[in-house]
Formats: sequence, C-alpha cells, structure tokens
Amino acid sequence: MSAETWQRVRAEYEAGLEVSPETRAARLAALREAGESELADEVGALWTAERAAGGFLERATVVEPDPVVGTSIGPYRVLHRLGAGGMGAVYLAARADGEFRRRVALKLLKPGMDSEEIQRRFRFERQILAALDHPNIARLLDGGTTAEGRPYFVLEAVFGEPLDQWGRAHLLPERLRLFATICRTVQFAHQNLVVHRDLKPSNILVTADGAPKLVDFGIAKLLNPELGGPTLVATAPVQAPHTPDYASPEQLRGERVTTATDIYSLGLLLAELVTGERPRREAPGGPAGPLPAGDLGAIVAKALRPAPADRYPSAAALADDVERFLDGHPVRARKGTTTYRARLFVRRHKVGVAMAATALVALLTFGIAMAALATRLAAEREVAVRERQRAEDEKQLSDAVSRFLAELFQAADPHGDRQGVANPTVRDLLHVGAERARTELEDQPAVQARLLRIIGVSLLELGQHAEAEATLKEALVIARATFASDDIRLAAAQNNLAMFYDRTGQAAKAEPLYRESLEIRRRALGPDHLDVAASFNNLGVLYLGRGRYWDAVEALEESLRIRRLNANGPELGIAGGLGNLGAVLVELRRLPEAAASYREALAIVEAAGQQESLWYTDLTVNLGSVLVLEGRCSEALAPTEQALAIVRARAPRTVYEAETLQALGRVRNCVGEGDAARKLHEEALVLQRRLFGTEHPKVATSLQNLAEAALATGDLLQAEHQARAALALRRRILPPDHPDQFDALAVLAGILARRGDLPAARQCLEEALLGRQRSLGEAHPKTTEAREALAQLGDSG
Amino acid sequence: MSQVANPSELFGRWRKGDPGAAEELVARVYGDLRRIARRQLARERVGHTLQPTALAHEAYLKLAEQERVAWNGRTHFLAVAALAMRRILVSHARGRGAAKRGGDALRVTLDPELPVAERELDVAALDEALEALAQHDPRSARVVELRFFGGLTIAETAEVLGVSPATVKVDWSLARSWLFRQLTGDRAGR
Repeated sequence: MSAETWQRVRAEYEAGLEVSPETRAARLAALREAGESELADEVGALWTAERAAGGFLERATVVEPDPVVGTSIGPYRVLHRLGAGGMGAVYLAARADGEFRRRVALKLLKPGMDSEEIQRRFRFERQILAALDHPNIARLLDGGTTAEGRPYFVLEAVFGEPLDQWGRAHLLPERLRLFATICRTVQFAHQNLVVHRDLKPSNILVTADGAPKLVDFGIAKLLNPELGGPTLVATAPVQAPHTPDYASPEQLRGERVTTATDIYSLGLLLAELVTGERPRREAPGGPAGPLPAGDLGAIVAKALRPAPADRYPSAAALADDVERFLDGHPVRARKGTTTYRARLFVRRHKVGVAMAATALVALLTFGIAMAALATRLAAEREVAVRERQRAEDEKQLSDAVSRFLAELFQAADPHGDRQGVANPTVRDLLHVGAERARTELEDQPAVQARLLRIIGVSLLELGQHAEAEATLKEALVIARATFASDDIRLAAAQNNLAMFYDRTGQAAKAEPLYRESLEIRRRALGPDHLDVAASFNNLGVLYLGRGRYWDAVEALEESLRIRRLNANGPELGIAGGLGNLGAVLVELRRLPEAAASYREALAIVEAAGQQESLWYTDLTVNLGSVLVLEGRCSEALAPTEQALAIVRARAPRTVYEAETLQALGRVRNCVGEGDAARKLHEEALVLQRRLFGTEHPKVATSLQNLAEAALATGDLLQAEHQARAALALRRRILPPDHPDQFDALAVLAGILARRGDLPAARQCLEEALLGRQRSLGEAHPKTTEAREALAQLGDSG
Repeated sequence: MSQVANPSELFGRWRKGDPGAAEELVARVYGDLRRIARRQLARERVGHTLQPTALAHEAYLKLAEQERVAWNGRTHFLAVAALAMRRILVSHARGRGAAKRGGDALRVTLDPELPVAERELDVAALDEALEALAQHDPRSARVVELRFFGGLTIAETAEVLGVSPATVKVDWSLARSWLFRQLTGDRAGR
C-alpha cells in the first residue's frame, strides 16, 4: 500500500469513527459507486475490525505459552491458540502432511472429559456430520484422540464476526435477509438428520463477504447428548453446565431435543437481531423482553412457543415468513395465531370438542360436512401433539384395530355364516383382512394405514411377496397422505416397506426409506427410543447385505446400546441384535467375538423359554456356521439338524427354511458328505428362487454353496458352471465392490486349479485378492487366504 | 572516555529521532525490567496472568527508589520502559519458540469476557504486525508500543509524541483495528 493510499484509508476511517453504522454503510456504497471498491474494502474491513476489537490491546495480560502449540495432534500441526472455553481450547492448525497448507480449527477438549464416550458418539455421528456439505456450514473434517487420550475435533476454519456484532453494523433488511439464509442452512442440516442444539451468536459467524457460517453443528450432541434427552447417564461433572441463553424450554427441562429446539433458538436470535438486545430469560420456559412488536413480533412469538408443536414446523417455514415480511406480504405467524388459539381452545375444552370444532370451522368458512370436520380437527390435534401421542388417541386406534380383527376372525370362522372362508389359513385371513381394510376403513386412514402395515409385514414373513409389496406400498401411500412429514406413523410405514425391499434384494430402494424413517424417529422420539434401535438394526442388516461391514457394526452396536439401555433384563430384542451383530462379525472373520455374541443371544432366548422359536433356530444355525469356519464341523451337525426340523414344522417354505437348508448343507459338506450337501443346497436353491425369483443375493449364495459341494464330490463341470453363475449374478445385482463376488471368484479359482487350468485360476485369485484388499482391507482373513492361495498356486505352477 | 548522559537529555535526543539515544535508554532499564519480568514469569503457572503495564510500573518504582535516576518524570521513563518491555516480551517469546519446548510464543491474554477470537494473542506475532504497521504509519505503531507495552494514557502518549490527544485517539483506534485484523485470522482466512 502506498503512503498516499494509506492516507486516504486513514482519512476515510477517521471520518467513520463517530458516525452511525448506516452512515458508514452509505459511505462504503458511495465509494464503491465511485469505482473505489478496493479502498472501500480496506476501510470496511477496518471498521468491521473496529467493532469487533472490543478491549483488544487495552486490557491485556501475559500468559505462559500453551504447551500444545507447536506440537502435532494426529496429522495436524497446531499453529496457535485462538481461544478457550469451558470445554477446552480452540487452535488454528494445519495438516502436517498436506502439500497445501489448509488451515483448520482444532477443538481440543479438556482432560477429564469422558473421552471414550465422546469418541464412540463421534464415530457414530461422523458420517452424518461429514455429509453436511453446505456453503454456510463450517464442516466437521476430522476427529480423534491425542496420545494422552484427549478427544479433539477438526473443523473448517472460519474467519468472521459473531452474528450479534455484525448485526449492530447492518440495516434491518440486511439483518433479516441474513437471518433467512441462516434458517435455510439450519433447514438443510435438519434434512440431513442433524440438529444443532446450541445455536447462538458466537456459533454464527459472518464472513467478510457477508455470508453467514454456522459452526459447531452437531458438536453439542457429541459433547453432551444430555443436552436434550431424558437419558441421563451418571457421568462425572466434568463440564460446565450448558449456557442456557439460547436454550429452549424443553432443553432446560432436560427433555428431548428436536428440530423445534433449533427453531426456538432461531426465534431468540431473530429477536436479538431485530431489537439489538439479547432477550432475557425470566420465568422458566419463557423469554422476557425486549421482544419486537408487529409482524416481526408475531414471527418471533411463533418461533418461541413453549410447546414445540406450536412453533414453526420447520426452519424453512420460519425463513418463508421472514421473507414474506420483507416482501410486504402478510405473515403466516398472524394466521398461525388463530390456529394456535383454536388449539388452545380445543385443549381447554376437551368435552364437546366436536361442537366447538364445528363452530370454529364454520367461522373459518371451510364448509365441509360436520362429521368430517370433527375427524379433521381431531387429526389436526393429533399432529399438534404428535410427539407424545395422547393415550386416548392411541387407545382409540388400538380399539379400532382390535374391533376390526375380531370381526375379521368372526368372518373367517368356518362355523360362521357370513362370507367366511372354510378352514382359513393365516394367509387367507391376512388376505381377507387387507381387502376389508381397503374397502371398509376408507374414512379412518390412520387405522387403515396401520392395519395394512401389520398385514403387509405378516405377508412378508410368510413369503407372500407380491401381496406384501402391494399392501405395504398402499400403507405408505395412505400414511403420506394422512400424517405430517415428521409423524412417527409415517416412519413406521416407511420402515416396513423398506424391510420388504431389503429382504427382496432391493437394498438400494430400502436404504433411503430406512434413513428417512430413522430421521423421523430420532427427531420425534429422541436418540434412545426402541423404535430408533429398530431402525438402526434394520440399517445394520441392510449394510451387512451390502457388504458395508464396518457401517453395519456401528449401526448394530448403536441399536444394541439403545436396547440394553431400555431393557429390564435379557430381552429378545437384545438377542436379535446380538444375532445380527454376530453375522457381521462372521463376515469380518472375528469368529470368537461372533461366537460370543451368538452364545449370549442363545442364553437370552433360552431364558425366555423360546427354544422352539425361529429366534432360537436362527442363532443355532449361525453359531454352527462359526463352528464350520473354525473347522469344528461335527459339533455343528446335531444342532443344525435339530434347527431344520423345527423350522420345517414352524415356517415351512419360507426364507427361514431355505437358509437352514443352506446351513445344514454347508455343515454336511464340511464333514465330508458332499452328496447330501448337494441335495440340501439344491432344495434351498429351488426354494430361494420360488421366494425371491432368480435375481436375488440369496440365490447367488445357493449357487455358490452348490458349486462348493459339487467340487467336494469331484463334479468339476457342474461346480464350474454353478460358480460362474453365482459370480455373474452377484456382479449383476450387488454393488461393485461387494465382498461376496470375490468369494465366488475364489471358489471358481479353486475349481479351475483342480481342473488344471492354473493361469485362469491365478487370474481369478488375483482379482479376488485385489477386490478383497479394496473392500475388506489388507488384514482381513479372507484377504490373507487369497494371498496364500495365490502363493501356493505359484509354487505348484 | 564515555560520558554517562543524563536520562532526560537522552530522552530529548530520542524524541528527536536519535536511535543511539534510544539504545542507551533501553540499556539502562532493560536489565531491571527483565529481572522483574523473569521473576514474574517464573512464578506464574500456565494460564496465570500478569500485566505488562504493571510490570513497567513496578520497574519504574524500583528504579526510582533504588537508583534515584533523574528521569524527567514518570512519563519519560515509561516511554522507554515500553520499548524495553516490548523487547523483553518478544525475546522471551522467541526464545521459547526457538527452544521448541512446547514451542509456543508468549501470548497475551485479553479480557476473559471477550469472545474467543479476541482473547489471546501471540506477542511475537504482535511484534511482527507492529513492524508492518510501522511501514505504513510509524506514529500509530509507536502509539501502540507506548500504550500497550508502556501503559501510557492517551494524554501521556500525546505528550511523549508531541501531538494532540485527538490525533493519538485516531492513531490508537486505527492501529487497533488494523492489528486486530492482522492478528485474528484475516490473513489466515485468505
């Protein structure tokens, strides 16, 4: 900068020292218009710094150096300390190994925080947080533990001024526009399963180019899940209590945190942006003035309603209203007041709601028939209290369901004289039930959706796939039309259809539904609810099928954590979770852990007296497969045979029978009974094809099993044929690096080697080795196996 | 034959821009200030604080008592002490950096009530930034040195520099804004 430029900067700066922010803004605009934007940038930046500088250099004290600065944490070199807070210190750091020096903010927690717990949560949340790719969100980049066991998080470094400070220097319309952007950013996060939980001015920085950047998204939860959730695990009081300045009433009460919590915080931020003063918290649960008046006041008031359900339904809705205000349109918050009052009225006068509702709706001139009105208003009320559905609603619904089922059984009674079916099977009953639900419950969509869902799942369990699909899809369509987008009943319908998709080899369709369903449940029910556990379990099973074993372990462990947390003792849900976890551990070849998982699960099932159940047979069969992998084949024989007998009696012609057949086939093959094994696998293949068609992962499993059994009996021609069919099928329907296809390749290699075609065998093995290195990692036993087989081939060739 | 100059005379020469005079003045107070600073720093644990300006005042009182130096008043002493203090703190900071024992430069903690980004700063970085500021605006840089390291008031600073208090106020504000921007990430952000 030349001396002359400096003089001009100084003169402009000085001229702006004693004037209002508006005058400053006008001056900058004038400079830009005059083509002096560089000068305007420089002066503007200095004015910004002047506002932000506070007591900079005026009240200073000297401290000793921080020993962390200059050291390395993970791959990061700590450059200097940016500041400290209750949780620990924040540093500016750079990746020590990168070619370009990207600066990051590194948040190092104080010693004494529960690092293991934080790490566990971090591992689990990492994927979700890392997916928050948005220009207005500072990304969570990394995290880990230092050599001393202190957890740290690495975030995108943001340089800007805190929202409150920025607000003091900008005009109201600018502030409101920025606020709308903040809301939309929060909305984006909500759509990605992340609630901020700690929105406050110091977590929203405005950069030099006027863009807001939200920092610490999801961090509050990592550090302290109790910030909203009734499940207080007694931990040492290692951290300062949460600053409640911007916390919602439900957070203060220690209740569950939802997206509505962020909307409350946004309301407080809006109030502060408008009035310039931080709302004080006086009475518990309610902010005290200064609050804005007029339409903005109405918007703030709606965002700050004590009951989450009475606030804006989403951050986007809040943004819309602010923008409506900016555009001079009437705001929804005003209209909301009427609804709000109506709801209060309905709540106060539970008796005669229908009458009141009629009057009210007549007042609002909706002009619909009276009976329908009552239903609609009741439905609206349900939406309002959706997160804690009232017992009476629930009772009403279950009464309706039982009445329906009672009538159904009556109808199906062979001695009855109505349109009954003689000697009905369960399947017949379900079929009739679905038909009746479709026709007779049209005016009770909530009951209809629920029944169709239950019937659909039962049909799925019975292997009636076509009818199951139609029924579950119908249930979801009705649920979407009937319930709000964050209603747990919608989540249930999504979950059930996703189960169908996953079971029938359509995992790609299942995953988004599972995730959506999980999102709704987590928001509505909190992180520790059993339904959330069910969703995690289902996702875990899906990941297992997709070959994403580590993801599967994480999801299943989270599911188990929740189930154990909620259990009063050993419960079947835990056994189910342990069984699924065992299956993943088998794939990861962590066999002792897998066996331990299965044994714990079996003990639970036995304690529950369920030795004859499919739970029990499933677990026995799976434990047998561990024994087979450990080479203890004869030990597995008797229990697996016993399981097949039970399954054939209880669930004939189902996927359970098919899988038990396969399992027994593998055991027989392992004890040297190749011919018996082939028969079992052939039977399984026929059944799998009948259940799932030809294009299904389970069919491929059967084909591979057949190939292995054929190889054992010396039928090389058949073996090669089956192995190639399994490989081709897997390549068609599984994700590109799914580990299963490399299993088929390895089996094919063995067959080719036996046939004497060593070059072809080597080629298959090489491909299998590469694939396993990619998908399972260098250390996985299957990778080692392929490497050793390749070495042997090299020796013999 | 070295003649020991009177501090007031040295100070007068320094004000007129004689760098030799500044060196000599600093040499007179440097040792004492450093002793005091060392003792203080050694006593404090990490995170504990001590005021640089308080240091300078303590040094002045000690010198005034023990040596009966004919300083032309407290202001002149503090002006010199400010320069000395800057050097002590910076060399202490750099020494630490060089020793790689923890490696951090000595920092200054600002008011703990302030937002995170404003609270602490690196003395060595402040020194560098002050050098850079002096390239554009030497007087503003001097104002920072006197006020921050020497603890002089606006009026005292004006007296030392021979300008009006109003000018010092503008210098001070501009320098603070400029340094704040330099030290709290603007550079890192680009």
